[in-house]
Amino acid sequence: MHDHREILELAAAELDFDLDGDERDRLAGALETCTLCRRQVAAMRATATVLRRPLDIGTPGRVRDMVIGAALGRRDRQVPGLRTLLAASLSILVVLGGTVAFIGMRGLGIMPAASPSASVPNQTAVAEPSPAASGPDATSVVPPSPTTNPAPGPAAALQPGDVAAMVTDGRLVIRTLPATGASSAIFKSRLYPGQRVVVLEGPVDEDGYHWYRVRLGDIEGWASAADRDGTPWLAGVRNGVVAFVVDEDDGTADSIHTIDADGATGESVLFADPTLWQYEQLTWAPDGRRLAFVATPADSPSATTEIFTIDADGSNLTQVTHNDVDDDSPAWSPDGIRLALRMAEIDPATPEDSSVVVTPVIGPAATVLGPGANPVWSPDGQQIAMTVTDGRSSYVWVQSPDGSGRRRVSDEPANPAPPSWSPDGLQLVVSYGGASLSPAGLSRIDVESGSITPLMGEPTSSPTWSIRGTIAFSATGTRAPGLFTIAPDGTDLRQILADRGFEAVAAWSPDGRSLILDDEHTGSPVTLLEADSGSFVELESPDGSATSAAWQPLLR
Amino acid sequence: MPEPAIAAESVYRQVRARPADREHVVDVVSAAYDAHERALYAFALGITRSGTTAEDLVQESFLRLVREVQAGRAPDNVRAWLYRVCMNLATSRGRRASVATRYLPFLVSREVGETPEARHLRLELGSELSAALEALSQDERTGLLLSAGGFHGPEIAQIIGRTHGATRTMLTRARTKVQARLAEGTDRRA
Repeated sequence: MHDHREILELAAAELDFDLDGDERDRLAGALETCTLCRRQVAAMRATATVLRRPLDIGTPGRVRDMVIGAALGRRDRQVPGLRTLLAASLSILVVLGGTVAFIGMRGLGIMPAASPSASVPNQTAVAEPSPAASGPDATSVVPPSPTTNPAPGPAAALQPGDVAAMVTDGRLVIRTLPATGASSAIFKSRLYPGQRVVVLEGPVDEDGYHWYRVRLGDIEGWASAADRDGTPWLAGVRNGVVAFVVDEDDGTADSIHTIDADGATGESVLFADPTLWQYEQLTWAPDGRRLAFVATPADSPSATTEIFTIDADGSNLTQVTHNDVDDDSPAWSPDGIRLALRMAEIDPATPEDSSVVVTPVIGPAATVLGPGANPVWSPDGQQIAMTVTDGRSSYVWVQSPDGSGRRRVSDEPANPAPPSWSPDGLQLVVSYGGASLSPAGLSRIDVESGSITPLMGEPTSSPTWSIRGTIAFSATGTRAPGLFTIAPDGTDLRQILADRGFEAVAAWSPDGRSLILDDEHTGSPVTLLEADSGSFVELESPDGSATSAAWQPLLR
Repeated sequence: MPEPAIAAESVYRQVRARPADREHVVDVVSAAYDAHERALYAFALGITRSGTTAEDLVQESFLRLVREVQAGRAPDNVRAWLYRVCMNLATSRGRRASVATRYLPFLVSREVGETPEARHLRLELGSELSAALEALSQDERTGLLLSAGGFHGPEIAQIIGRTHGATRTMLTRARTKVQARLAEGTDRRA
């Protein structure tokens, strides 16, 4: 028997000092045998990891100017010619490689947005041979789509409370002040094409730009909504129509319908093609101009599913995948250029095995990332989270869309369902199934460190993180089943919908204020739910049951 | 240290070896600034909880580095040197602040409510962890923040000027206090 407090103190000391042999043995022995010590020590180590995470913010450029001015022997705050001198003195850093490219930029009055550069996530995936199946066909010609990039018209004014999408190439910086001068520090996090922020206030006109204070995860700062000529960099995101599948009884005459955002008016048929069966998994491109879905070609000898896209008006049907295995789970990259998808293994003996593939919407090159399922793009498009099974348990992994940087985020087994990214892409929220060392519940994972913060100890499913910060999830235990929201720090738990006898799979509307509930497996009615008021409407089509709904984002 | 900071630290070591002239001073200070400014600011913010105070501490620490380099005394371990100076400045400032508090009603505060920087710190750490840190003594908080900055125990002992044993006891106590406070919060939510 051991003293739990003494073991915790040893674990604390181990974080900063080398323990002696006897201390190491006592700590290891206690962690091997004592669940309480193991949990307490894990929590302490997680706290240390959180403390080690670097802050996203630095000092404003004026501090640097002051320090360098002093180094130059100047006593005044305004240092003429400083930028040139700094650029010269720091040029040595540039030759050290790309990792130091940003050094010396702060305080130099760089523009709010970088010019188009090699850093833009673009459709440059290198074709890799698929290990088992042919994957998305590398040889077929895919008709070009007219709308693969967000390209709204002239910048429209944003309002506080709006969700805004980054709509230009390159990267957009967020500053501490609405100005380009040395007093305005630049946050390390940048906005990538398609990434969303919440508008808090503005506009403020300064230095020829219209600045808005925006929130991205924990960051609150100022970004310009357009260049000096009015070309938009940020566009407001509105709720468009809701697309859903109307399912005929025999499944052979499905059609895709749309209905207005109120869920009650304006229903019309968007798409119906007798050569395709069993539409499902509708998902809108981030600019709302195309809709991807899964269907089975009627003439397919293997009766396997493929992925298709259509334009928002139902025209221009494009088959994205062509092979003899099931392709599903399409997920658009935030810039709308690529799709990630799950491709089943060709061996029918292992139907649960599958790979995650990234394919450009236009063009033949596809990249097989490796084994996995449930791909989800990070909000900046730089990573894809997925679940990977080791035969017994499922774990959350992340990987770059170019195939590099594949790694397991956490050693805790997770539910084999899509995780959900935080708006800043630093964390994931995951449901756990309840293996011996990971009690059932809901947790937040720091993607960089893998440290886990439990949010709920009850069985949960389908967590989804709103751009506004709230996490929605279904509680599936017996104590209080239903749909809940919770703040990322575990506070403000609210039940927004009582149990209706089935698991509600929820997704946030583009404006982050409503939820769309849908579960294709249980046949539950598609429901649009306003998160704040709890009022909801169930979709009912006169043509049959409504399933697989997706809310269209509209950029303006 | 993040990769760019490591690269900048490497530049610091290279330029430090060059003969002393004005350009050399600028190069050495620039490299040190790029390598350590963010982490030092996070450290100062963690100790003081005040954006403007942390900014002042970082600026003053680097201005002292400028004087050291100008005098031909560029420190070997500039990172530890900057943290030690920053910590000492925070301590002496804290003493002055406790005197000034008596006259607070007559002074105009530079900060109204929570500053964006303090808010950022609270949100990045989480409100409960932030509160748990705030409940520590300044020495304990400084020790934990030095550890968070990547310093190992013996280095922390050297920076804060305590013995190895005393530093280990202090850090251990600080960590268990933080965990106890966090556990209380978890119990309240359960």
